[in-house]
Amino acid sequence: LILLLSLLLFSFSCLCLPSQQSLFLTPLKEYDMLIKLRTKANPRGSHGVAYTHTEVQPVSKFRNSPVSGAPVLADFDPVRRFVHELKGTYGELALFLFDELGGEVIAVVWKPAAFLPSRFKVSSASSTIPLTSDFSAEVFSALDTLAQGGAAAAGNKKPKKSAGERGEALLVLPNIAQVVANIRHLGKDLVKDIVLQ
Amino acid sequence: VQAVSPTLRYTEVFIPQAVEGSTAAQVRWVPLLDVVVQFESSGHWPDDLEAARHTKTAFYLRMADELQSHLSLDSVVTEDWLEVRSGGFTFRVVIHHERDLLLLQKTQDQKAVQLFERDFVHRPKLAASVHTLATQNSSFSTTVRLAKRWVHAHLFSALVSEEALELLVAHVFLSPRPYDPPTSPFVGFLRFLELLSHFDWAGQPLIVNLDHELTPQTQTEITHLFNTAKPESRPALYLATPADPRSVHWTGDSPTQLTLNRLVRFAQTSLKAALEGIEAPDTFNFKVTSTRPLLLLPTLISPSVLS
Repeated sequence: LILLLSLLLFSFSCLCLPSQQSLFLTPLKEYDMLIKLRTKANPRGSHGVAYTHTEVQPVSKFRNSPVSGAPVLADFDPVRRFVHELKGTYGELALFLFDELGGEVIAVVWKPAAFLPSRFKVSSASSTIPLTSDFSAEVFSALDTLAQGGAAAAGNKKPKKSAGERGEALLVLPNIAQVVANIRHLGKDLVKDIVLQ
Repeated sequence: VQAVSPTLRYTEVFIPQAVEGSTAAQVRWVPLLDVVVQFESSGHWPDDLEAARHTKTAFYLRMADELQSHLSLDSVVTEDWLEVRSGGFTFRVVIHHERDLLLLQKTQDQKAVQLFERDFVHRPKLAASVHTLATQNSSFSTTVRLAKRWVHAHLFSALVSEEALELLVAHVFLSPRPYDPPTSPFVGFLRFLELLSHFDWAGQPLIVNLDHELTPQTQTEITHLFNTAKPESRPALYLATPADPRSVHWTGDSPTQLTLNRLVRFAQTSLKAALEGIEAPDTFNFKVTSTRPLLLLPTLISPSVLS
């Protein structure tokens, strides 16, 4: 497990750097997941680095006619709100990186620590999957061995609960498929596509 | 009346366009231009924070009425600010009353006091200093905008504050040694990348001599504060100014060490790419020629118009 953890940490620290080709186009290959956004749904879409004029919507047929009765929405930035919501919901699971100036993707990096088996919690029940009880017990005994090693080293003689006593406790892992479905649902029309890489 | 929005000190990446309405197909982006209205101290203000807040709301309502009847400006009142629309732009007006700070200090809520000072003391002061800098150096504004565009383009939005980036660029202009201050925005931008790449962030504080207020005493004090703070408890990006020797206001919570490391590595690669690009311009796509008027000079909105 520790090997896995360090491997994942290593992979994060090696995240890709800007290519030799451009200063302002960021490489996206190395992120774990990309949430692609619909530029049209973003009021700041036209600020994007990759934005081209061909996508411009005509504002009005006649310059002097009022555009429409739609109200002016000051500071309305759905992408920023979406990212805020994502951080609130899945902040412990992943990092969400974005470009508030008309960026077309939200890049997601999973946090390695969140993918270790953890105890079942009702609050996160919808986005986790239980491990089989056999595997749970195995993890517990591994943890016990570690804890005993640590306790012995520290000269701590307190008796620990054995794996058997905790055998009924259920361990869970994040359910990525469910998380992706939830993100798609949260983003609704803002999200064009979600790519796991 | 103090202007605090980046737009009003020439450091917003995209110059706001006047927006009168939105089409059904596309909601237009309408930034809020922040303005702080400072009220004279008066004994008539209530002694309770909640009551003071409601008093301000009452003032917003009154201001909205006055603006409507005297200048026929539309505004929207919320509990904590007033949105005024004028000529297609929207200003967010917030009232600042000094007494609130005393009331806050009594509550012993350190974080709230710090936020209050940041929003009503330090931000307007920084805005004024940066505004001065932008009027003194013709390439400052565009350099800041390039730097911000670069930082956002590499997905660092919400991780590095606008003010921190402005301070970094300010440092490039204020302490350019061994060079002269940059005379073109692109050179300024390269120096910004160079500063990010090569500065020893873990080993020393970056002291920005804003308004040339720095004295040898403050300099020693800042260095002392930096050296006595535990490396893990001080900000990773330590940007000290004479007004903010502990670097708490603009980089206190973010970026983290991990984010800073990534930022530095991006800067190093971009700098290298840019320098190589200058030597072989045919094969290089700077992507500076954005389709939006990134490089046009900003429309001049002087704070004096607001006061």
